[in-house]
Amino acid sequence: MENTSSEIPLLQGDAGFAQEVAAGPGGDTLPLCYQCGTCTGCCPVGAVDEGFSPALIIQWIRLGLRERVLGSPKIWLCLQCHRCSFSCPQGVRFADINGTLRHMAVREGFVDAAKAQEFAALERDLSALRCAVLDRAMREAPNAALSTEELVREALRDLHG
Amino acid sequence: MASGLRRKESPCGDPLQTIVVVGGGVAGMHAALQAADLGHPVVVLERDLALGGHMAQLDKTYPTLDCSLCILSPRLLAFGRHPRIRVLVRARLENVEGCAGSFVCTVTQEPASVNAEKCIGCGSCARACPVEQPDPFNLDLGPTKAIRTLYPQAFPSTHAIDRRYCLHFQGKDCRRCAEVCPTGAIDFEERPHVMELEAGAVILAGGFDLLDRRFIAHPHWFDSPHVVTNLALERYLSATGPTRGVVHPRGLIAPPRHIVFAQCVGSRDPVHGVPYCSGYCCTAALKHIQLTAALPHVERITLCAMDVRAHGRDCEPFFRRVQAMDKVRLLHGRVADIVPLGTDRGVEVLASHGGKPLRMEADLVVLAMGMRPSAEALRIAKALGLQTDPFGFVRIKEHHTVHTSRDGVYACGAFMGPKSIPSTVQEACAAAIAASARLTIRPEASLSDVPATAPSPAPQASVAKTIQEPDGPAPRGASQTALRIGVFVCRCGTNIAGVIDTAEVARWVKKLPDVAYAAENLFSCSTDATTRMARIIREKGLNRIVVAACSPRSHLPVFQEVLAKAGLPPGYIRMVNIREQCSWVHPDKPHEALVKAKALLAGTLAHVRAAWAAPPMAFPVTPSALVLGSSVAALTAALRLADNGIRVLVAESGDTFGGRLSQAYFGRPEVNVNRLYRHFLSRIRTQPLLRVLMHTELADCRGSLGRFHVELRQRRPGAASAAERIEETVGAILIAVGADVWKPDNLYGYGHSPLVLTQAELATALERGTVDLARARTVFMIQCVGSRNDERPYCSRSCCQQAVSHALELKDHFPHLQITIVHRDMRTYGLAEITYQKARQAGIRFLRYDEKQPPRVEPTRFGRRSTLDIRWDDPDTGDFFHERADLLVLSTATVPSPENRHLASILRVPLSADGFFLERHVKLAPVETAVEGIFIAGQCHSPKTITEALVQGDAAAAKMLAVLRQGSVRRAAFVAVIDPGRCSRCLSCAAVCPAQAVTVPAVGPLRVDPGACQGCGLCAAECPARAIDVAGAEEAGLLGGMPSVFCA
Repeated sequence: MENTSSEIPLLQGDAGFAQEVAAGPGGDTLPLCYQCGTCTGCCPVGAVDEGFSPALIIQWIRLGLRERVLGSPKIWLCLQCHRCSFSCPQGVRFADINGTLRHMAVREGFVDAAKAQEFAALERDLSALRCAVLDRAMREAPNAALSTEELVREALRDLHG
Repeated sequence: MASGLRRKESPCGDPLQTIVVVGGGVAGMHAALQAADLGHPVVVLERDLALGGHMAQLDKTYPTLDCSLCILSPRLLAFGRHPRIRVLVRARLENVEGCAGSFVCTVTQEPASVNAEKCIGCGSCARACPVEQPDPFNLDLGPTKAIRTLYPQAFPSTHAIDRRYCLHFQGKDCRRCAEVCPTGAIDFEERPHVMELEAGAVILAGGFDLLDRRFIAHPHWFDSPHVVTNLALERYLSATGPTRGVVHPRGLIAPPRHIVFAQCVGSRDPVHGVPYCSGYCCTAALKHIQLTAALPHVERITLCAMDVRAHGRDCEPFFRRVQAMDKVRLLHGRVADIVPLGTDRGVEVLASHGGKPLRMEADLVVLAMGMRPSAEALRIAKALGLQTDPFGFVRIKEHHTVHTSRDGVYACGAFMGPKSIPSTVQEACAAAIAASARLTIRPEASLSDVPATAPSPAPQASVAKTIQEPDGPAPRGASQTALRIGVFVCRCGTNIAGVIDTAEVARWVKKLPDVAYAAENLFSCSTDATTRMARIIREKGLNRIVVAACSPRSHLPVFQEVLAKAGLPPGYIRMVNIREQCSWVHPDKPHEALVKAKALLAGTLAHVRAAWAAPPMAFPVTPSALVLGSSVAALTAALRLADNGIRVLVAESGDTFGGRLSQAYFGRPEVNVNRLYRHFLSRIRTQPLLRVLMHTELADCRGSLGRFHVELRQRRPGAASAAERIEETVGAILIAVGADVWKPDNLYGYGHSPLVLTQAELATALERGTVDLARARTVFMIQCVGSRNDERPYCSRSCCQQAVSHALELKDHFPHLQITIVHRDMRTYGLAEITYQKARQAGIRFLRYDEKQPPRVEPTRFGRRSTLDIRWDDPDTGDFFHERADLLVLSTATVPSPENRHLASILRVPLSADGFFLERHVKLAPVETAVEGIFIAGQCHSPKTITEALVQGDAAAAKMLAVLRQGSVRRAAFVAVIDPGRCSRCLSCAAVCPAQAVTVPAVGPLRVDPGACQGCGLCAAECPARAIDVAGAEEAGLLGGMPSVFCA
């Protein structure tokens, strides 16, 4: 047993972390989670990035892994689409909880406040780009469909002038 | 028929003793049969066309994979034969007026448009009917006719016209059914009946409906042909289903190769569906996996379940077998979404595993639909003014098991909450005896007048079941008269006739020597067919009978009764199984199946020629009982029996009385153990028919049902003198010795550190107030300590609920505590799921561990305090954790009492591989054992909660009381006889006889007690002098039949 414990990094949870998260918006639903993974299964981010899993982030919170959660780039990947919240059989509001996590990450210095501002701006730009791409794709005749790359290039041209 | 029922005119007996049972599913059927066996006239009201409920729709049952209808149909037949039961189908209970003991039930009955008195269930009308309509029995997946019976083996078999589809009722000129009906039973003018029934008690067995699309987050799932419900899969698997047993749902271009089972659809989902666990679906899915994995076209099966709740008898080994299958993969989690992939391509299933999203293509997704109280049950609860819980399940009075909020109205089955078939059967029997308790006419003498020494005469003589001795001519068929063999070939609907030309079999057998009569029946076991058989036997003077049909294991008693009715000894019948052994196993080779059926029949004819039978004998039943143990179930049953005038002796071998009740225990939400214990103690003190012996062990038991001679030894604590011997004769025995809590010495630091307790020790400490956790911060609980491993491959069932309720109790006392429960699967089945939800809400943390990576615990010191160091692997994140705990509570296994082996050997009752007592049938005979007259209840049967033990105790009491009230028992038809000329007194037979039926006199040959002999034949096989022959398996007959069977 001594061997294994020296080889594998032992993690010690921070019991207060889950309570702090639970104090934020939607946090009251956090303890209800029974790890069914519905959120992870239906998440549109998870569909393109296998490493993104709301259920896993909730499990990290419950185990008190403050550094891992707040220092993780994953919490910035969430689209805030709330699909997980609507699907959750226990009514856990992950998207809201994720918002709390972003605030805490900034507050506790895991992410620079300026950097967070940049993320927010980037998110807005990406949303604008997404709308522009979809808008352009809709207007194209179906048989003259352009590739994603071409669509993005043209949409960017539209956006910037 | 029903129009004759009017107020002040009871259907069959004293109205004040009548019990009305509402619902004809497995709960209602068993409640009705039990109440009738206890001597009450019973009226069963069933909404549908026939009895059976959901169980009739199942293909196989878990975990034995018995054919559901094959185990149910003997019960259906019992209804047809029971003189005290009246079945009203298409009937609904409108209202109940009056009070307990004198109710008036208003019942309406829809018209069948078929005269039930005339209909013989031949099905000519359905064949002639030109209208096809969706078949509700097959969940509208296949067609049926506008005049129909519910399913082929249905009881009653009376057909009924569906007026919504019938052309005649649409104004068209169609009378085809009336034209073909051989008995002129069609009655287009029949009107609805309204009747009033007088009854003393009402038992509600309203059953359940499956949840539907309104209860799930994604109702569009149901629109895909690749998605079916678990009940639909049952119908697809069933031979009478829409695809005749081929799993190839409509809309799929090929049979499915990859099947996904999605659990908890609507259940455990307070947001979209219902918050409770439906209890049955995990084991049903395991059964479906086992069945579908055997199909050649199925290559892969995925089970998506959060917790696999296989907590019943024999369920865990089944789960382990399924897990070990190559084709099967288990994902911990729920199905998040199902996306159609286009017409020919099946669906994509979105789920997650190991903290990662997972997408897979599937050809078929089976949804485990949760259950809720049936719409009909909800309506009745409202009409009767019963209290229900927020989900619509009927509320049970505090400290009761089957009593509703209205006096005299009882409930059982899924109407009280989601549950499995065995629990339902036990509840049904408990409801029957509870309903009976208030209605029984007391014996003339007051209870205290009953002499303590001599057994009192059967107290219920007025309602005792009279033995149906053959009332016709004296038993005939003695060997002198010429043999006249009658052969009845069963079509079994299409089960046999679909493959084998039964008419040809009958024609062929008629030509064989000694065969005086041969004919085929549609269903030989149906009420009209058995009546006809008895008549034919008398008219044609038949003296040996062969029935070529299904298994004698299920149906022999049915035909033995026919013989008794016709005045023949029941030993003069043989059955040959041409269904399981011919038509079912060789459906593709009808010719070979026919040849085999003929060969088996020829062998059986040779057998029946050699049959001999002794005249029927009856033995009196001693109206007293021995209850071994003083567990919850034991005390429940003992009190129930004593209250019904049975003398009861309770023998407890240990020195604690009351089993689990004597220990502190917190059973959220409903059981107050202390109050229950006090209640039992005061009742036992005041019940004069009850005698309790402490420190008393069973030393010997001889005899059989109705007259067990038992020898008990009572130790005198402290005294060095030998134990005192007590001899008694009792009519029946109940084993209810409870179970023990396993002590996990040297595991998780138990026994080394005072900080490690078992759940039972924690409960005692909490009760005494000796737990001081004011300065403690963290408490850990570890589940499945000693359960669900290779040594004990069973689930201890009650520990998850116990841990959750103890954790909540701790949280109440010490709100600052951080409590973590480390588990493998949380098995808070049924309504206990609500407590689990509450526990999470209260901030109790639930983490999973893998069987192969259990947590590691080491005592350590933290400053001046001693604490525990806990390390565990978290399979959800894949990380290795380390925390300190101030208290560790172990949920240890429930282990069989060491007494079990000793009792099993004395009573010759089999034990399961785990060392618990084995019931006769896991689904439908959960309190009977293989030995007639010996019953089991409580934790000695399998681990269970206190409420479940209370129910099982009542169920066992009901079964025992029914037997004890009979007054006498008939001997088994097939018994062994020793030829005195050949017997050399070697005692081989006495050594092997499991029924201890061989008596050894001081001189002369041995004898077999026909009252005890079960006809198993072990003695005949063992006897070196071949001096023993067994009726039913005569050596001459068996050998005589061999050439026909093997040389065909």
